[in-house]
Amino acid sequence: MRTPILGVGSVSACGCGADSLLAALQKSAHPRTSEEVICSASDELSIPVYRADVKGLDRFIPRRALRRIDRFNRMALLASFLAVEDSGVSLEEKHRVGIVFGTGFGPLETTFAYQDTIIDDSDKGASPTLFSGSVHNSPASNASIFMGVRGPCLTITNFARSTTEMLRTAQIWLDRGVVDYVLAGVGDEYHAVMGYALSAFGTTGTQLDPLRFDRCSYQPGEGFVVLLLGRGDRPGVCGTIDELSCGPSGEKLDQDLIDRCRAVLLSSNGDQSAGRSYQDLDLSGTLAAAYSPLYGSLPVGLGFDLALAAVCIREGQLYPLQTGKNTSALDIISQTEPLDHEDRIGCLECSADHVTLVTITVD
Amino acid sequence: MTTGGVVVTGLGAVCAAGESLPRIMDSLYSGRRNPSLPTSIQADLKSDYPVFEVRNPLDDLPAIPYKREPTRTTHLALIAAEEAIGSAGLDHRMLATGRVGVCLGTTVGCTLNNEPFYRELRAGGYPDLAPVRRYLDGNPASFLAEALGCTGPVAAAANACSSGTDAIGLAKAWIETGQCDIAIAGGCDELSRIPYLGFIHLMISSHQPCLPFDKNRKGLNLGEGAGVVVLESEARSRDRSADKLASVAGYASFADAHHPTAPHPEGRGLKLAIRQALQEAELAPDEIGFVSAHGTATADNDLVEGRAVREVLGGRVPVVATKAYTGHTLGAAGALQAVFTVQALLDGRLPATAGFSTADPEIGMEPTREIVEIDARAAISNSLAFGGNNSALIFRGGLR
Repeated sequence: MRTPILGVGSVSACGCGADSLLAALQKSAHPRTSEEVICSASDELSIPVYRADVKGLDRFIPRRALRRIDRFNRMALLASFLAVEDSGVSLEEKHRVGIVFGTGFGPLETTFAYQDTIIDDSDKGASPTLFSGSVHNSPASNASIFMGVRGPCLTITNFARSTTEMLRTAQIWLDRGVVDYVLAGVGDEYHAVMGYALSAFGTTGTQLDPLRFDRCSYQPGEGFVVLLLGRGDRPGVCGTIDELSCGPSGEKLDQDLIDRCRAVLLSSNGDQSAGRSYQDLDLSGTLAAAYSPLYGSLPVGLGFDLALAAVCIREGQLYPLQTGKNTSALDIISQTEPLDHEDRIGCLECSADHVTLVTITVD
Repeated sequence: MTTGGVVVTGLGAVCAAGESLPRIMDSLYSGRRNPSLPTSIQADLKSDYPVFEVRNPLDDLPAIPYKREPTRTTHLALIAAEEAIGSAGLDHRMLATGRVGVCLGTTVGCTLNNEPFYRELRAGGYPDLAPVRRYLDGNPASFLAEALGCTGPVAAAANACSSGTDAIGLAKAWIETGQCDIAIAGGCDELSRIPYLGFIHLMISSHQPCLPFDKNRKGLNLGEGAGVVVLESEARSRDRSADKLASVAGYASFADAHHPTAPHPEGRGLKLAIRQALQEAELAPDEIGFVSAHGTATADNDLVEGRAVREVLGGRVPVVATKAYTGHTLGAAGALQAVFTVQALLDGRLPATAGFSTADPEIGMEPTREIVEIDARAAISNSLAFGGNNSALIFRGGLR
């Protein structure tokens, strides 16, 4: 299945829009993180969090209409509008447009804000508005409502596998002609409960080292990326997704597929349990990079790598990113590398239960 | 790309009406239902709200050495899945060595809703992380795939009340596009205080046992359960001489793009979904033998759904609303309906819609009042959801 990428929308610690991703790549600068104080059973500590910068949604939606929209939904809405704007496509037949989003944890802030109303105001004070906003599909639904999109609208939640299955769904819809366009996105948000759990699990680090596979350096991130995907009969200005391969963890990758890639973006993000799977990869002869220090550690990091790959393809260049110590045998991109017609970028995600490789070709 | 269609070869279900499909159908055909005040939920409210609760599911779990401790939601999914796999004539070895995907819908099962944990953390305590671990291990689709050794696509559809229908629709597409040969598909959810309080405060829960499509309906009753179907390509089922229970002839989903919790008043998305599913199934409206309605017994849902069904399929098609027996099981709802739809096609009869007695002239149609003998070639199962999702599945019978 060939799936052209027509536009990129992103909301992350880098800022908003595809340009913010490009600027971060060009400067090779890690975005600023905020320190979140976490109380754990053993200590009070602060952990750096890649907080998303959600600004500019009032360009698309009147401020008054935004009053009841939570932060996670705002991220999804802004990324969706930006993806369409970035593409220059006019989505006129709204029933021929689909939305499929993936998320690891869903709208965490609203999930717990709703529970706050129960704790603070008793069972009689539970907020119905927060309850309805706490369901995982609220971002996709709000995107449908505010953008007038009337095709299929689906949310998939599989922790680290969310991006893979989200993308598989989008490709199937397009390939079978269910719709002409898909807003295909993933996102997650930070919440203090996550910080507590991460610190108690001992999985956070002081610096995200995605190429140090032998230790934990997880630093929570948040944000939302949306790709506007079209049907395979048109060129993708941001490249065309031509392979989606997913198998059980430990399964040997299709070496021919790897060999056809000019470079592979690893979604490694300081999660030591997945790090071992990256360590065992055979990527000899292929350039590699890990861009998670631009967006942080989160279950849907593969989606951010797809967006970054799309931005690289549009610019015709791959960018180096300083990512700390490299303890692997990988050949890391150390300087700007030009991309040629028909070059491929692979986006590779390993987790405890699966390995996914998505390849994007320069059209 | 697979040709020849997708067939249902196995069915499994668990809900308040019974802990296996034969028991449930017996309850449905007997008109027996057992709403009661919840035993697993305590709430400090002025009024009581009945639910449809599964009794002691732990006792019925088949003895299989799972790696992880199941949550109540995944437990329900396992019970239904084991029944479906058994009825399909499959075993774990066949699942582990084949190209098998798992696609389950859920809403409660994907949300970190552990109140004691959160209360302790908020109060400045240091709660044990066991609930978080259980949550992280408890994604229903991933859990089931691991438990059954399935290595194909794995997805949990979190589309609120249409999750189960959408999961089956997605699994159908997996098989049609060659992503896998067999799919274990359906939905599951447990009762939880979080949605229980939420639906009450949305003022769409009823103090009484629900009355789908009735003029005096007061709202829904929550329930819990799981429904699972085994789907296969027609060719694959033929190769292994499997009993083809029905084919999944059509599926479509459209959004209302209207309101976060209310359906579009004209049923815009639902009508599109039914029409598109008919087109995919290559069926005319008058070839639909019955409708398994979403039928939550809320004022808005039943009005919009009833009118949409009447407009697209005509006013004479029999309609049954099984939430009268199961309660609204959220992520499981569409899957349970799908299982009952296939079984009703096989049985050639529809249960009465318990609780219905007085027709609502605003709706202009009424569901089954008693058991209806049917000679249906095909049937449709609808789901409507928060956020304005509308999905329709069409099953075609008569394959035996």
